[in-house]
Amino acid sequence: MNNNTVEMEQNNVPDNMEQPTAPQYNPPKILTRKTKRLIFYSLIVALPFLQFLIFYVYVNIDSILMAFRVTKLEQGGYVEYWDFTANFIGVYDFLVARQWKPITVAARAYLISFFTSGIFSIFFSYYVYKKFMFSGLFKVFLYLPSMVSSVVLTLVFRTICNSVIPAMYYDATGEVLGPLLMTDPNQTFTMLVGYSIFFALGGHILMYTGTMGGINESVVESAQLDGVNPIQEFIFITLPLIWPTFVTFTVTGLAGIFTNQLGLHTFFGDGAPTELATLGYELFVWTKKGSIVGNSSDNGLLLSEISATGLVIMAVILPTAMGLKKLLTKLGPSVD
Amino acid sequence: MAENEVVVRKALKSKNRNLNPFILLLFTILVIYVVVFTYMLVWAFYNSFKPAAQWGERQFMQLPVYTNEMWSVDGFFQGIDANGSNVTNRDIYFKGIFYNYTKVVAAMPGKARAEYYAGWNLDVKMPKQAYNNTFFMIIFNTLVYSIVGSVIIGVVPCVVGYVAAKYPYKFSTLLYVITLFVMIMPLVGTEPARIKLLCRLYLFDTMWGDWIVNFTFANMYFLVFLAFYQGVSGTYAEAAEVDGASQLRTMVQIIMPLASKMIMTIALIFFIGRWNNYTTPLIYMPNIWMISYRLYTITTLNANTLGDDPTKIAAAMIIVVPIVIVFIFLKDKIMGNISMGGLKE
Repeated sequence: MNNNTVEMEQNNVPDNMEQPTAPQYNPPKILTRKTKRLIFYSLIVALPFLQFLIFYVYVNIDSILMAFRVTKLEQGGYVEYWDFTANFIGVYDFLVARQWKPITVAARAYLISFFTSGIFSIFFSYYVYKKFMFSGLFKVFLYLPSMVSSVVLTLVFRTICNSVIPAMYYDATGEVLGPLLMTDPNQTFTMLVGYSIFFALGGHILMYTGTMGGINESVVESAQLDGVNPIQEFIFITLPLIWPTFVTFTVTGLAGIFTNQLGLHTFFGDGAPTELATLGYELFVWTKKGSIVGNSSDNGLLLSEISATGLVIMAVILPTAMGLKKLLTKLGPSVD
Repeated sequence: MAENEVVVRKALKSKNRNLNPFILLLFTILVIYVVVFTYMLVWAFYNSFKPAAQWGERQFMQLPVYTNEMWSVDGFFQGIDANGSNVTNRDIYFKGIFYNYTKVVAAMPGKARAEYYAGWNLDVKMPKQAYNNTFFMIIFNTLVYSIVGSVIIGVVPCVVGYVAAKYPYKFSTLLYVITLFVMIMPLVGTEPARIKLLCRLYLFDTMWGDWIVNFTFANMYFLVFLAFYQGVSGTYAEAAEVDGASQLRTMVQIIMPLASKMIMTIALIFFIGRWNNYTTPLIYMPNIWMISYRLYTITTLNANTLGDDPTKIAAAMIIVVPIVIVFIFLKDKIMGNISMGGLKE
């Protein structure tokens, strides 16, 4: 029956006649709106939560357990044992064999970077926020290194340091200069830190400028009416208001002391000079190698020892980070 | 009154722009930074086209020169092909300028055979068969790895953030607390346990393994989406429900499009990050080669594969040029939407 027929039939019914109505069938609602919402919510959350349970909770618990287990190769194959000290002793032996340099080198690099690129990135953010000359261009260039692969940056930097600068030096002075990134460890360290500072200058710039952009304009304007110059404005208004962001970055970046590779793996692959190898580099290289059995103090870190290292680092970082946060919050500039 | 305000604002702005020594110092450093960085990239770009012979003569600062002799059979390119076979003059001519690039492309394919413990069975090392990574497979792997991974990273926090914001169950509070905990907790050295788990699940050295690992809500972007959806009026969803839309349809067709710009921005940032990333494939997918991973191995781990420096630089340019093009066209999207703790519309 098409629509026209239905329309005609409806038109033929007199207006005053009551139309017989078929009893409406209302199917019983099996699911209420509340139930439907609960089911939908559960379905949406189930998989990500399961993923969290497996790949965060389970992995971290297993990582802790791995720190207390050792694997040995016996006649029947590989056998795992509980050993509450072996992995920690292995890590200690490894660090002693390396004269604690993985930690001291990393700490030196962290502190130098913090007091250079860490501070300058705030200054540059302020420059961009205040829209001084060419601030848009500078913003793009400061952000660009984070868009370019570290493989590219290190390759170009390495080629310039090892080939171009020595050749230019020879042309200018007639004296031979060896590759800057290969010969002297101190010189190599300087070049690596210089590299990391240079390309970290724009670090956090988007976050800092975003925070600075949230500063109430009337506060700035009233200060300017009182005659403050850009430096005073930075010290007395901008810095106190972005201080919580600075504290957050500093505290969360503290783990960087133990994880920062200083670009060593990208520069040197597995063959970085041992005098310069940071703990982050060692952890990465030995994770990649994936050794399960062996004599760690002589050769490197086993997977179980890497887990033990992580446990020790967490035990050190957690209280340190909390203490640092308290200290920075206490010592920080007042908003008043 | 309004006019006075405008005048005062203008005066303040002009005063603000009066440069003092500190600002001039910052300006000078930034100019040097821009010049050095630009020069590095430009220098690398033109040297990637340079014949190795010119590099050997330490002509680092000069543009590449292509003389007639170089195209002749007696010249530098005589008989040299990317595969080492004989070629005609016409081939030499066409491969001349991009010769370094053809060498890189020819060096990229290979057979991967990194060993690992499938099922965490320590007595059996896998794989027994070597993976054959052709050039097109490497490009395909890179695109799949970058695109699918970045979409997952963008969408999962968005969806969970939405339900946490609009479905006020106690579990939503738990999701929030979990995220804060994960973000604050500094975890180091958990990779061995993750590798072990992936091996046990037979997900190690697979793209699926990477996707599942990234199928997480507990990151900064969950908080961003949570805050965003808490600010969105509930009337949108209610109106859709009154019209008979299901919960899923309301979310997909009404709510998620509201955050489409944010999802796009996050996905774009992660796409670039994953395109550039070589460390994750190196650790978790050693036999599935990506462009950045492969070029890292032939320029650094096995540095003799490509030989001369201009060819290595050409390899670097293959990674960087697509990203720089993307960045030039989408820089406002990438840089403009990030603010304190997240994104803004």
